Amino acid sequence: MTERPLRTWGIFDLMILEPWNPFLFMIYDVIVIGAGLAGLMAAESAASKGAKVLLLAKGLGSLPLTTGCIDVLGYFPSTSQIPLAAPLVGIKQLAGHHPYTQLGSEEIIAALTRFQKTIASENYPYNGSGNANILIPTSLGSLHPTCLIPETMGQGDLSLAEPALLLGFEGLKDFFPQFIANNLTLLHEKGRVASAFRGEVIKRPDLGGKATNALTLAQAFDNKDFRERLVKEVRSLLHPGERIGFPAVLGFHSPREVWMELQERVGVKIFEIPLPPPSVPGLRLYHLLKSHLQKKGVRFFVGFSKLTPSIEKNRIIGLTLGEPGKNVIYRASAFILATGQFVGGGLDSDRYRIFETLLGLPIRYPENRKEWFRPTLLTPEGQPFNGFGVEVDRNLQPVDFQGRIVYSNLFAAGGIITHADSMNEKSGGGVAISTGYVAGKSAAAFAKNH
Amino acid sequence: MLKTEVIVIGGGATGAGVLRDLALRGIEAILLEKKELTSGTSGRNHGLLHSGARYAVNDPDSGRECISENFFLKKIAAPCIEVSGGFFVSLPDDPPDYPDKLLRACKHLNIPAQEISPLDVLQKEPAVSSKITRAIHVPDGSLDPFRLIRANVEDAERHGAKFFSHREVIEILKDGERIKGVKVRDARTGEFLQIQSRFIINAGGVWAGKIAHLAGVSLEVLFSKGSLVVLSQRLVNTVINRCRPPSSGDILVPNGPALILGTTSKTVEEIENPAPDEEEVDLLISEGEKMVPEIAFTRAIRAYAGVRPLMGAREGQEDGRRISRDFLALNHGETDGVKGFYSVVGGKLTTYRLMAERVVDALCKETGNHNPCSTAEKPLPFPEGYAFHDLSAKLYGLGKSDHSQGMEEIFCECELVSRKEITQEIQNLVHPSLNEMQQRTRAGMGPCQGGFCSHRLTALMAEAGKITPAESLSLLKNFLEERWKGIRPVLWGPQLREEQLIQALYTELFNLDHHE
Repeated sequence: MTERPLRTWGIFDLMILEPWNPFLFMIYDVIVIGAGLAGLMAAESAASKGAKVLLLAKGLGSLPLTTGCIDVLGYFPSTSQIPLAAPLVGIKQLAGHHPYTQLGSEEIIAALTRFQKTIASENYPYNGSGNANILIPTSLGSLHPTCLIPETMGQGDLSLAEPALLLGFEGLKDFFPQFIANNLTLLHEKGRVASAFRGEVIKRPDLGGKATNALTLAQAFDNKDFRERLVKEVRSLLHPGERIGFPAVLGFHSPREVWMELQERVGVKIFEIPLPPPSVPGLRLYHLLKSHLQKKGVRFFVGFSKLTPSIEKNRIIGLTLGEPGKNVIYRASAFILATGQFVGGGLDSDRYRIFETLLGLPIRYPENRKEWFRPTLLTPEGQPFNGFGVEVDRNLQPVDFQGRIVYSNLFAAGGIITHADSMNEKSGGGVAISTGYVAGKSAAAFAKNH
Repeated sequence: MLKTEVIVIGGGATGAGVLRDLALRGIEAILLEKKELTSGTSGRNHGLLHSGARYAVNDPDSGRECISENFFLKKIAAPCIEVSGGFFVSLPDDPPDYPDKLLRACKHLNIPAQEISPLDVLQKEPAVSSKITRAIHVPDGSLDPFRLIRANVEDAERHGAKFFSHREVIEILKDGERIKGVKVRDARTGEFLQIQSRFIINAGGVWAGKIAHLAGVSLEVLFSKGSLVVLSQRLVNTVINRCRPPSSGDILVPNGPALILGTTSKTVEEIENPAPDEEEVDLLISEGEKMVPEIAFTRAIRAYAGVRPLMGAREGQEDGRRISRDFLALNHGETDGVKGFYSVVGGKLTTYRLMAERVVDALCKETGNHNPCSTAEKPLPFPEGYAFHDLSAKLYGLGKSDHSQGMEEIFCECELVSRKEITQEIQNLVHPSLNEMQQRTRAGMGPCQGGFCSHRLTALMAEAGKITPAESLSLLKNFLEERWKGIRPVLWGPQLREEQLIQALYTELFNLDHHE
């Protein structure tokens, strides 16, 4: 494969390029790097300001690794055992360097509203608002405070008093309905959950010979015949007065229709419970936001192994997929770094150091590797390494240790920004959406002026 | 009151070996372990089947014992042994006279050692450094200590012996100078229990001194901590030893699908919860790289430490390397006037059977039991279908079976452990323990270290009725904390990246960090 000599692009090549190919449009107002929630929101908000946007990402982004729910702030202080009632109240008390504090409540509210409007326009509405947390069950039978949830999960709210039947599928590894129900019922007995739960397994779902997993089940739910066959079995398992919880596999392409139809046909309220990755709600969110952005004219280039920046003084002039000089350079007036942390690939490490992978931006971390971690794993204080990232100013521009802007046309969004440990404070989605929204706006404004 | 002839204390390799030896000679016995089987040093080593060559030069008695036991174990425990062979390789900086010394010493001890050309080594093991100057082949191997020790206990149980885990001996009862029994505490319920016996065999390993003290006997055991690192790939199929006097980072053991880098040695006072630190990990990796350069680019998935119980003088021992790995089998009735009390300490995993034989011989001499030891001939029992290092066989089996059906039943994707294997082993559990499930099935021993399957194992145990809902999540949390101790020192690069995802699973998704 590597035997073929490298050559430059000729007119013939341009003619055979497909029309969507971003090679045809190499100069942009804003280039977003990263296809997680932060990158997608940044592209949305920049495009809404009229900017011509290109989104570059090595892979699918980390949405398929999330629950698909938007945590805004679950706990404050993070060591508290009691979930925060209203995230927006907690946000006002956060430390000064937290990205939320940098942005301020108004921007956060505007960002969450924009997200809900955008996703509702794709016929996949999210319930909730920043004014209240919702407690939902996990697929382990523990509680999870979150803020915005897909409508398809709404009836899983643990403050609802109706008893619930959890239905799993034989062969689905990460959803054990009896186990989950027993754990939730225990919490019910302790007064933490309003209703009792019980679990049943649907034997051998007919997936046409495919292995049973979240993805094949979601595909099956898109099929009307599959749903029709299932409805009968579900009815036979149901006790009067129960609502039904399914693992979050109720369809890929039109989950809202699938969910509404099932509720109607079975005649009870139905909800989804998020599963470990790969997450169907996360994939839905990715695909819906992507198609929304494409309709808005945002171009996507997803799936490459190397990205090389070209720098002039303190300005980024472009990015090359592969080696500069040999491949095409994508130029833009402003850039948004939304590459995430270690999982996303924005940060990496070796035995002695932590580094930002694209631009080598300054990262503050203890020299001794021992101090990147705490002696206990599940501590509400969180692990230091989950908070590592780049320091930013109020406009979300990365700054060095002296507080000077590193690149005049660079903005950052999402997990790559330091001082937010989304894992223990439960703030990942909210930070991604609000920093993405603001970075997108700022980058579009910057591009307009330069 | 519970009554038996012999109480064996310590559920490690030695205790399990002693229990089996007693049972096969028709002597009634009970084995008591304060935690779980193999939770001490026996579960914290590199799983090496010694050829004895490592000790041939400086510690010939240990070397002699190792080679004869090496031969016996291959006969009685074949399914849990990989006859991989071993190389001693010299690097340019190593003492040039050591290979000849080693060859001479091995010849003297009848250890089959043969010099082979570096080129032949590289042909067999291309990952070995091309800088090696000399190489010697010896009959080293690797074994699954968990399965080996469990097989000893299971065989003993079949012959009438009993094993109790989570029972800590807190008092040794005497009638004058004669042993009368023990008082134990059930670590799970806190209840006390007395067991009557005529004899006690102390196989407490690093705790042997403490146990002897309960009987009013002084027994000095020296503690030497050894840390090890597990890599995610084997890299070599032969045990690789550094051809120089024993030192840190001088051995690489391909064990199952992993490569184990050993070992550091440091005399310590503290024996509970030994843990490796970052410096030891870095040292083992940089020394290992010299023999197999690929180690620098291979994922380290875990580090752990064990404490060796050594018999010898404490003075002038910085690292305990010069103390003999030989063992002692003592009849304290003869040496200390406590009749019916025996201790067996020191030694190696490879020599556990011989240690058991010696101490039971001594006991039989006292009781006049003339049944000969048969542990060297009778094969140990292994579960049907069990094979050590069967990952490739499993993969092959999956390929042959209906693919879709096969994969969905795989609950541990790293080690290809099926739901069926797990549910079967759950039935064999006396006490619910994720750790024991790992040891029994290898589920959770691969690159993610149970990060993506331990919640599944927990759910299966709960659904099988082995744990209550109230226990289930705290059991899982405790397991994750133990797991964290082992992986924290090796978190960098791809391993750190994966760990962040695993933490997201348990905190962002399951919210276990805020679960009471």
